[in-house]
Amino acid sequence: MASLDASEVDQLLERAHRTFQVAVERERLEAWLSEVAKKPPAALDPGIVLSCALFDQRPEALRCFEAFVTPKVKAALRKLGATDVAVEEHLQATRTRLLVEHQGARLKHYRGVGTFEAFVITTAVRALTDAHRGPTQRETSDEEPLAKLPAAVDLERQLARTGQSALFANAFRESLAALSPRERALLKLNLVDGASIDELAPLYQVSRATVARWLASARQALQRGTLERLSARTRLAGGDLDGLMASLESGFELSLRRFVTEAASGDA
Amino acid sequence: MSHPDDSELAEFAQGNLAGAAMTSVESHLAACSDCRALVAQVVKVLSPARVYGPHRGLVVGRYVVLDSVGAGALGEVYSAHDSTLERTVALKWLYPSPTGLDRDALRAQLLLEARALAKVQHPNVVVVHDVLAHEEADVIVMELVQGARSLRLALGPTTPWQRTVELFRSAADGLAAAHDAGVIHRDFKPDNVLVDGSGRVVVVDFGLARQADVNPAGAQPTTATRSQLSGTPAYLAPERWSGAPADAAADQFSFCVSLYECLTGRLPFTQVAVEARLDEMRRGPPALPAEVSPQVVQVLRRGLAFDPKERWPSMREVRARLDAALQAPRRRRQRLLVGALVSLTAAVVALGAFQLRGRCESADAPVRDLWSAGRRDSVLRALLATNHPAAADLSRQTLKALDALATSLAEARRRACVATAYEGDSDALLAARQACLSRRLSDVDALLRGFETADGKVVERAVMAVESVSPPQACLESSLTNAEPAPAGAAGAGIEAVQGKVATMRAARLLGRVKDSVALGEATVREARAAGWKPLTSDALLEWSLGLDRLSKFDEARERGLEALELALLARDEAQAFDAAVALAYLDGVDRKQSEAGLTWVRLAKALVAPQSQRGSQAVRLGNVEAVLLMRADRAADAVPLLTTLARDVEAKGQLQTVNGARLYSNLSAALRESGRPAEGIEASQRSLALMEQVLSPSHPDVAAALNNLGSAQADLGKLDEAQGSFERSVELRERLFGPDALVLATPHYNLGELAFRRGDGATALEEYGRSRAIVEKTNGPDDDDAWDSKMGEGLALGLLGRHDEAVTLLEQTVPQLEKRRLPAWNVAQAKLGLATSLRALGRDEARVSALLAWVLALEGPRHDAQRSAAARLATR
Repeated sequence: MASLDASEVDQLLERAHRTFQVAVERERLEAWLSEVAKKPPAALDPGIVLSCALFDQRPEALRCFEAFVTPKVKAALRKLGATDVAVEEHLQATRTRLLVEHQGARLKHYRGVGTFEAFVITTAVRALTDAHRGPTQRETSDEEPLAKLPAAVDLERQLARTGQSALFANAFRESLAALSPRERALLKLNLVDGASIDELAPLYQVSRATVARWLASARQALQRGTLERLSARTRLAGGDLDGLMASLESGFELSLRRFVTEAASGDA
Repeated sequence: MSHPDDSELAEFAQGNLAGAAMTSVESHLAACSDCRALVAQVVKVLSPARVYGPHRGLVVGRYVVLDSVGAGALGEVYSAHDSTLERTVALKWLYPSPTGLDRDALRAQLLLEARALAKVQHPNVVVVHDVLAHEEADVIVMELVQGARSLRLALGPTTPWQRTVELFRSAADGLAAAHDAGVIHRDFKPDNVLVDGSGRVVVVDFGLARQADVNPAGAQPTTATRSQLSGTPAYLAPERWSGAPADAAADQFSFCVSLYECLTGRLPFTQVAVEARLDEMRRGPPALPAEVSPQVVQVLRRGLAFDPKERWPSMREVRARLDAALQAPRRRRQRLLVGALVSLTAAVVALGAFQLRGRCESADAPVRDLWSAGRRDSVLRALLATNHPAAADLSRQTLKALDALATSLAEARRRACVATAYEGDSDALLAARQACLSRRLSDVDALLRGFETADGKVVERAVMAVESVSPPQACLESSLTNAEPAPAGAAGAGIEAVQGKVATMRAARLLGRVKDSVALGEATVREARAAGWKPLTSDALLEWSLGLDRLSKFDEARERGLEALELALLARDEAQAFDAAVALAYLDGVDRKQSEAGLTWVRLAKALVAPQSQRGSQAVRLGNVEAVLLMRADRAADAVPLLTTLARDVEAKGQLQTVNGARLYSNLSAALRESGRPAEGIEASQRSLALMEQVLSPSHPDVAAALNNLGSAQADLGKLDEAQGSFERSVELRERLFGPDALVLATPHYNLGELAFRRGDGATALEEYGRSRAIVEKTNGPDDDDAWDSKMGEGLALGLLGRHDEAVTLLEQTVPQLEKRRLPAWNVAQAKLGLATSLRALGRDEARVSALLAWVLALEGPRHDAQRSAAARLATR
C-alpha cells in the first residue's frame, strides 16, 4: 500500500463512528490498513475499523461487536435452522475462532471489502456446517464421484448392451470439465447446493433473468458437448445413434439434475 | 487444495469480487463441494430481505408489493398497491427482532402506537394505516410519501441556515402533535424526516425503535450497554444512556442534535466511551457558525441541556422559538430550485409504479371473482345448513383452508405475470403457467360448487379436499415449457370445457360422491381425446382411475392409470406423470397388496420430480405412500428414517400444519411401533393428534380415529390408564358426532374391552366386547369378521369370570370362524389359549387342550412371545 489519503482515512473513521460507535487513533488505523487493505480507504467498509479495534482487544470494540454484529449472526444462524442452544454454541465458536485463536489473526483476513458482518456470518456458517459433518472432510473434491455414476437413462442402457457403458459418464465428465469455471460453479451451486437464481444474482450484481440465461447456456453447452463426444466415440450404427440423440435431448434435463446431484451425495 | 478464506468467500457472496480474484474463487467452487455448500448457505442468510423479505408481486393481506423505495436500520420500505381502496401505500418491513423477544407483545405495542398515531392526523406526521404480521416480519402499512428523500439528502453544505431551520420547524410541528397524542418517537434523526415532492416535511418511524427497547434480563443498569438501548446512539439523550425510558424530553434532545448536525455538518457529541460521552454532554455542544441566528443557538443550547428538566417545556415551545428565529426575509430562489428537483424524482417514482400496476394488477382478478365475499358467505351458509354436529368447527377450518388456497393462487398468478412482464421470462412460459393455474382455478370452482350442495359427508371431507388441490406454486416451475403446449383458439375453448368436467369429477370424488364421479369418467375421457391434448386426456384418465380405485374396481383402475401415465410421459408433462405414478403406487402396493410393485412406482415418481423443485405437499404425499408400502413389506424400520427426515423438511418449510402433515406423523407412529420403539410411537401419535385438532378442528371424525390409535399405542406400552382416557375420548366424540349406535364406535368399545381384560376386570370386558359386537351386528349382521372378533373377546371375558361352560361354548364357535376368515394369527392364538384355559378348568378333553397349545407354541416371531409362554405354562401344569 502506498501512502494513504489523510482525509479519506478521516472519513472512514467518521463512518465507522456513525455505524458502529467505534474509534481508533488515526495512526493506528493507517498502520492496520497498510497491513490488511488492498483498496483506498474511501472504498472500504467502516467495519474494518471495528475489526482493527477488535484485534487491539479494546473493550468498547467488544461491546460494539456484541451490539451490532452478534444479533445479525444470530439471525443468520437461526434462519439456517439452528436451535437457540446451537446458535449460542456456534456464536461462541465464532468468537473463539475470530477473536481468541492465534491472538485474533483471522481478523486480518477481513480486507474491508463487503460488510464486516457478512465476513463474521461466513465464519459462523462455516462453524455450523463443520459441526454438521466434522471439519476433517474439507479436503475432498467432488470431481471424482462423477466418474462412477450409476447407469440409468435409456441411452446408458443401450450403450451398456453394446459394451460401452463408461462412454456416457466419460463424455459427461469431460464436457463438464470443458465448461468455464463460472459455468461449472453456477451449475453446481444451482443444481447441487440448491441456491436459487434469486440468491445467485447478487453474486454477480446482475438480474435474476441474466443468471437464468447463464445457467441455460451452461446446460446447453454441457448437453452439446456430451452429444458431440458420444457421437465421435460410440460404435453404434447410424440409425441407433439418431434415436439415441433424440432420447438424450429429451431426457437430458432430468439426467443432468440427477447426475450432478448424485455426484454430490456421493461425497457427502 | 488450498481453500479461499472466509473473507474471500464473503466478498464473493456479496458480489464484491471481480477479475482474477473472481475467476480463482469460481474455479475453486467448481471443484470443492464444501466451499460451495458454504457459499450456498451464506447467500441465503446475508440479506434478510432476500430470503424472507418482500418482492414484487408478493401479496400481504390486501396489499400487493410493488417496488423497494428505501431501507433503514430497522427495515426496508416498499411501495405497495392497496387492492381494496385502490391506492398506493408504503409497507415498512421490520426485520425480525434479533433478540428473539416476545413478538406478540411487541406487535401489540406497535399496534397500540399506530392507533395513537392514527389519531394525530397532522400533515407533518406520517399516516399509519395498519400493522400486519407476515411470516417472520412485522409490516407497517403507511402512506407513501411521494418522491420522498430524507432530510439529510434534501440539505446540502450550501443550504442556508434559514432553509434548514424552516424544514426543522415543520418537523417540530409534527413531533409536537405526536407528543400531544402521547406518542414518543424514540429515534428522531435526520434520516427519519422525509421531504416529499411538494416540499412537505413528514416525520416517519414513530416508536419503531422500541423493537430493541426491551432489556432481556429485566435489570436496570446504571450504564446501559448498546444492545439495551433503542434509537441511534449519536442522537441519544444522556439520560437514555443510563437506562431511563424514552420520553418527550429525550425526543427534544435528539431533535436538537439533528438540527445541530444539519446546520454544521457534524455531530455535537463524538466521544465513544460512555463515561467520556456523558462528560462531553455535561459540558454542552461546541459553538455554532457565527451566521446562525442567536435565537437558534438559544434553542439548541437549552434543548441539548444535560438535565431533561432544564430543557424546553415542550416541542411546541421549540417550534415557536424556531418560528421566531425565522422572522427574516427568505431566499425564494433556492427554495424553488430544490422543489423542482424533488418533483422530478416524484414523477419518476410514480411512473414506475404505474407501469407495474397497469401490466400485472389484474392478474389475480379471476381468483378475486371466484372467491368473492359473496361466494364465501354462500359456501359458509351451505356448510352450516348440513346440520352436521360439528358443522361450525369444520366450516371454519374449511374457509380458512380456502382463504389460504385463494391467496396462494392469486399470488402465483401475479408472480407469473411479473416474471414475464418484468424479469425476462418467455411468453411461452407465461402461457404454460397460466394454463396450469387455470386448471387449479377450475378445481377450486368445482369444489366450491360441491360445497354449495353439501351434506354431512362433504363437511367432513372439505378440508382434505381443499388440501388435495395441487399447490399453485408448482405452476411457477420453469420446467413447464418442456410439456406439450395446449392448443390455442377454438380448440383451446373446448379444452377449457373438458377441464371443467375433470374438475367436477375430482371434486365429486374428493367430497365422497365417488359414484357420481366415476359415472362421468367415460364421457369426459372421450371428450378429452377429441380435444387432442395429451396432458388433459391423461388428467381425465387419472381422475377416472382414482374413482374406480375407490369403488374397488382395481383392474379397471389400473388400466386407466397406466394409460394416464403413458400419455403424461409422451407429452413430457412431469407433474402429471408424477401424479399418475403416485396413484399407481397406491393402487398396486396397497389396494392390490403388491408392495414391491408399489415401491417400483415410488421410484419412478421420485425420478420425475427433481429434489430441488419438489414441492412440500408432493414430497409428503409420496413419502406417506412409500412409508405405508415399506410397512406392508415388513420394512417398518426403513420407513422410520424416511418419515423422520420428511417431517423435519416439511416443518422447516412451515408446511406441517396440513392433513398430510398429520398423516405423516400418524404413519411415523405406526412405523415406530412396528419397529419396536413404542415410546417414540406414542410421541408421534400425540403430535399427529395435535395437528389434526389444529387443521381439521377438535371435533373432526378423524380426530376420533387418531385418539383410538393413540390409545392402542399407550396400551402396547402398558400405560393402561392413559389408554383408557384416549379410548373414552374417542367414544365420546364419536357418540356426539354420530349417535351411540354408529359403526365407528365398535373399535373403541372393543379396545376398552381389551383394556378391561388385561386388568383382569372380566365384567367390564364382557360388557364392552358385547357392546362392540352389538353395534357391528346391527349394521353388518352377525356373520362379520369384527363381530366374531368381539365374540372371541366375550369368550375370554367369560373365562376370566369363571363362567367356563359359556366360554367353551362361545369359543368353540369362534375359533373355526377366525381361522376361516384369516384373521391375524395373534387373534386366533388368543381364542385358542382362552379355549384351552377354560377346557382345562373344566377338566375336559385333554387331547384337544394339547393340540390347541401345540398350535400356539408353533407360532414364530416376537409378537407371539407372551402367547407362547402362556401356552408353555398351561402345557406344563
